[in-house]
Amino acid sequence: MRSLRAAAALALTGCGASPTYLRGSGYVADRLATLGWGLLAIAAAVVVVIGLLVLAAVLRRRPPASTDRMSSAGGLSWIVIGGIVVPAVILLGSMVYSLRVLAATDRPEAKPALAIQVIGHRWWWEVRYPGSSPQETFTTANEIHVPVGLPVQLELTAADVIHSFWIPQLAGKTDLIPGQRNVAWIEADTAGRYWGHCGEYCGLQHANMMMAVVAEAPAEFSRWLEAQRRPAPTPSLPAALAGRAVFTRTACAMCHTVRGTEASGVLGPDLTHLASRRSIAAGALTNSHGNLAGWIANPQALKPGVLMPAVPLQPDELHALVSYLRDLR
Amino acid sequence: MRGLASRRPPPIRWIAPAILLALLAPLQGCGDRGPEPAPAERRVSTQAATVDESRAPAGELVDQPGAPSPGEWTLPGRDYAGTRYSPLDQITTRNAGDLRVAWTFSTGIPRGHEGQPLVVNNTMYLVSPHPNIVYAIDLRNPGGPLKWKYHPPTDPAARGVACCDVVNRGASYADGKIVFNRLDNVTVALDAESGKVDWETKLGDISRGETMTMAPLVVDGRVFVGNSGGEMGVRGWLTALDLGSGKVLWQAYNSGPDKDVLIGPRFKPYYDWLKGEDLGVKSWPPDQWKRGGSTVWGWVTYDPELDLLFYGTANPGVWNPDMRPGDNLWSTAVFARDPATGEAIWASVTTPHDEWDYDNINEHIPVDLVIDGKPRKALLQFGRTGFVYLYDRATGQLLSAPMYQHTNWATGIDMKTARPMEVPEKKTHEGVNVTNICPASTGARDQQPAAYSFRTRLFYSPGTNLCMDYKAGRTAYIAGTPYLGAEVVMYAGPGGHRGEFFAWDPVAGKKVWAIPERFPVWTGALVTAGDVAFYGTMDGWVKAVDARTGAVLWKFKAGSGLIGNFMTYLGPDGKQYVAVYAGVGGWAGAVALGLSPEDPTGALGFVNAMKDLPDYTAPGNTLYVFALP
Amino acid sequence: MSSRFPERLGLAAAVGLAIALAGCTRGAQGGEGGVPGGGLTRGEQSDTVPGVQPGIVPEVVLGHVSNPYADDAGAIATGRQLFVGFNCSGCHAAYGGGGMGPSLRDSLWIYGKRDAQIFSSIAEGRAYGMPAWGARLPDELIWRLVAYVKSLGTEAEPEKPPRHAADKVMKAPKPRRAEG
Repeated sequence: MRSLRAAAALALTGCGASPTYLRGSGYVADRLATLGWGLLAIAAAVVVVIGLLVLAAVLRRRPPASTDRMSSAGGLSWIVIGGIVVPAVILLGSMVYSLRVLAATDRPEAKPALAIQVIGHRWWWEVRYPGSSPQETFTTANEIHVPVGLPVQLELTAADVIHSFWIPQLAGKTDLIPGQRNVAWIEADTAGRYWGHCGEYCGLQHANMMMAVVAEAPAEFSRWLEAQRRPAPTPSLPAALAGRAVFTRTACAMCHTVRGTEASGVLGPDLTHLASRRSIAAGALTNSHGNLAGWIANPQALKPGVLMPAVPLQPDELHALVSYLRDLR
Repeated sequence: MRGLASRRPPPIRWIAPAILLALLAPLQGCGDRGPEPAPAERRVSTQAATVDESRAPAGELVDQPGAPSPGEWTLPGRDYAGTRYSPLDQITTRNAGDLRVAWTFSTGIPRGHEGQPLVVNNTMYLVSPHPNIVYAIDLRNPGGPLKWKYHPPTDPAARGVACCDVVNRGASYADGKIVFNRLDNVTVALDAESGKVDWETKLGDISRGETMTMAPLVVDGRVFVGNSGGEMGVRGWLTALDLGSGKVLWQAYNSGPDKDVLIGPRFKPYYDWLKGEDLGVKSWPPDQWKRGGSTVWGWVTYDPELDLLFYGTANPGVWNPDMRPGDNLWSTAVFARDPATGEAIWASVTTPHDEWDYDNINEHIPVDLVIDGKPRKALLQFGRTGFVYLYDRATGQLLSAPMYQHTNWATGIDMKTARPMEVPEKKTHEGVNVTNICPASTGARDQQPAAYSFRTRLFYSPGTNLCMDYKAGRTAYIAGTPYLGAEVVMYAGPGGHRGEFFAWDPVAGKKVWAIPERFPVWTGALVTAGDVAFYGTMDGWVKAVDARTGAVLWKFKAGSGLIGNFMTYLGPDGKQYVAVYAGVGGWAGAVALGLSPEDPTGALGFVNAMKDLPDYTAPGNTLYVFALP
Repeated sequence: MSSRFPERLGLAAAVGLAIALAGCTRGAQGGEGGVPGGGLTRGEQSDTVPGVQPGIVPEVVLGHVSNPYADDAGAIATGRQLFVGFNCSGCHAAYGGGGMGPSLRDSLWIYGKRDAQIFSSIAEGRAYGMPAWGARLPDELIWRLVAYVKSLGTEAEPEKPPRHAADKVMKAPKPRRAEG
């Protein structure tokens, strides 16, 4: 586990922005962050004012005793105004402010540029991109690309237990619930890579269920779409070719899909363009030759509890397989 | 004030236990089912159908291209059109009540017996379920030894990739050869006299999930064969073999690029949305057409006048529709092809982007009708979808599509495009359990074929009355395993009767009479010039009915449920005989083969609808031959 | 007759019927009747009975192999996931009731019911069409499938088959009458 945490930290720092929700980079996150700061300010002000009042009450000298037993000591106006009216106004105001922000962020102003399906599994994300024609649909995993500055709709569901989709810098949490279709949307202001986590405890590896949202200029985004739509090409290097045979003839093809080959398994992520992704194992490891080899050799050591078993392979088979996977751009 | 102790106990104290007993008592017999009365044989007709005596008087032959002499049966449907009409008239509505068993023969394979025997040159030929043993019985010497028997080396593993029992739908006879398909994808031609293998052609591979169950059709020295495996992600085709040598003449796929589907300049579909290039690729996600189903496991028919072959294609591969967005051509289609070259001449599609497994492989029967005063070369099919499709068989134009069973997945067929008008609530999707879809995936009727009488001008068809719940889910494709992605549960449709045998007027587009049955009627029909129609039930009843009125003339309880097709022939003694297999099984009867009733999804959902079948019948394997005394 | 007699009678009748009904449900589980294993259990080979005792497979033949995931609820749940993911459910039905392949829920084990024998059936395949998964799946996945298959029909079954009415008859239109 220690090695995993170290690797995760390494992976994250290698990717730039840390997932802080205090500073939003998207339409939704911006406004939510502002709301958060705003409510914090109000609450802080209230605390300060109350604190001062308490202090004043403690330090104030007591007026002399009055002979009139039933006379009012005064202060009812304090109670009514300070204790009922002012709090009511502040709370109502905060509520209205919150509701307005929620309403403003509930739906995008413009029609979403595209609708992406995200299905949560233990412990990875399946992502399906639609197309205007059946020829243009494809599936990928753990990494979502969106065009900058355009709203993108997300249709969320889960395959096994409840997960939650949370990209702190872009949007708040929306649950992925088996058997139910939830809808969220994001819009990134600036290009960049944003990390996300699963936001609902979903089992042993909940903490290692991460995803990346990459916001790109529209031209780059189109290029990425085109590349993802293509099936995996025939490898040119002999090692990679041998690796493809290993992939399709052993256990790999039983659980994974690589479009353009016989492999059409659905228990694990789609690997057609694995080499185009920066991390593997849902953000737990950087996508490198060594990490891939280690992961395939013994996934349970790196992410205990995952469905992927250790497949017994000869060293040259493993090497060929990793060459093939590195070739799946 | 009266003392409390002297009050009588209130009657409520007796009522509670009495109610409890009354509620629990009916469940007491849940282990043993007492005999239940059969549903009343209401054949519900108020008026007899007209018999056009001037057209086809008793005893006179009707023009049935492809049919042999009146007393023989050489093609699965007796003639090229598959009318299953016999000109024999010794058995009539007056004497059918006297029918009795003449002799029987067991094939020795207690699995589902679909198909029908052939009779030619006083010899009867039977093909058993897997391993597809062929028996030749000398009708001149029925008590003696078999003329010959051929036990092929059919691969036992083929049983593991056959979706719906290991049935065989029969052979064809032509030029002294008996031609049939083995479950393990080998088409075999045997010399009809000696039983020796003339040629064998392997056309598919069980490692890809392919099998062959259909009865080949032989026309003009060509054998037409289709494959099975739409539930296994197979890519379907129709292949023509040379009758003399077994060599492949042409092969037409039903999905993929035009050059594979043999769509070329002669292809003229009637509807615009079917015109275009490589629609068999473009209407699928990339490469999905390679697992496009669209197999040809049903019936092939032929019209010699137009020189066109007709056949339908099966479901589009994976049952989960969300895994294959697009119209998924050319699944659930009907094709008209040139038998010499295989080129497609026209096509129509019944359920583009099918979401219910409504295979379109039911027989298409070419018949000349007079519609709106005009004579039309028509082609009629009882669709799985619940609609009767009547086409102009020269152009592929859909002339009418009336509903013939309770159907709620569509409100009708749009005559401008021949596309169904689907009901949004009945569309199936991944992760959603859509309930109460009628008809169930087995359809308002499945492959069990209808018969057409040239005398009454009516069709006689078996029918099924089932509805279903359908829940699609993601599935892997692993070659040699099912490619389904759907959990289906079937149950009886409105009315509670799960089957029906009915007479259909193709011109009026209505049922003339209908006989409801407890179980789906899974036998192919026969109708004769004696105006007697035959059908059987899955609980073992063989029935003869009056073709005009639907009155049941005679019935007989056979040793096992019936799922085969009736045929009739003249014996060497000049008597008319009627023959049919009794051996329950097939898709509908799978539960009788030992499946567990507490899993309602068994047998692709059929188990739930047929849980009581084992109370009526068990597997069998007997051919019954009936005759008048 | 005491004044409490009616309640006692009703209670006794209810209890009696409940006992009778319990017998009904157990029968439904067994598949067809006449299946071995209903009476005496024949476990290990006996030293006093001569010969090779058909039907009993001793440990020495099975190689003393046992399922490392026996009674492991987590492994059984994973086994369910694999059962669906590898299309076992396509041939054996979504809850093992059978279809193209035989039922895995009944008490008839065609090739033996010991864990090692079920493992063999999955790994080596069988003559009538069961594929040999041992070439493609590592042992630890096959053992999980064995654990799941053994759980079918028992309390340990993770996803029990839905109870579906056998003859759910909907509001019926009138039976079809002949047209004119």
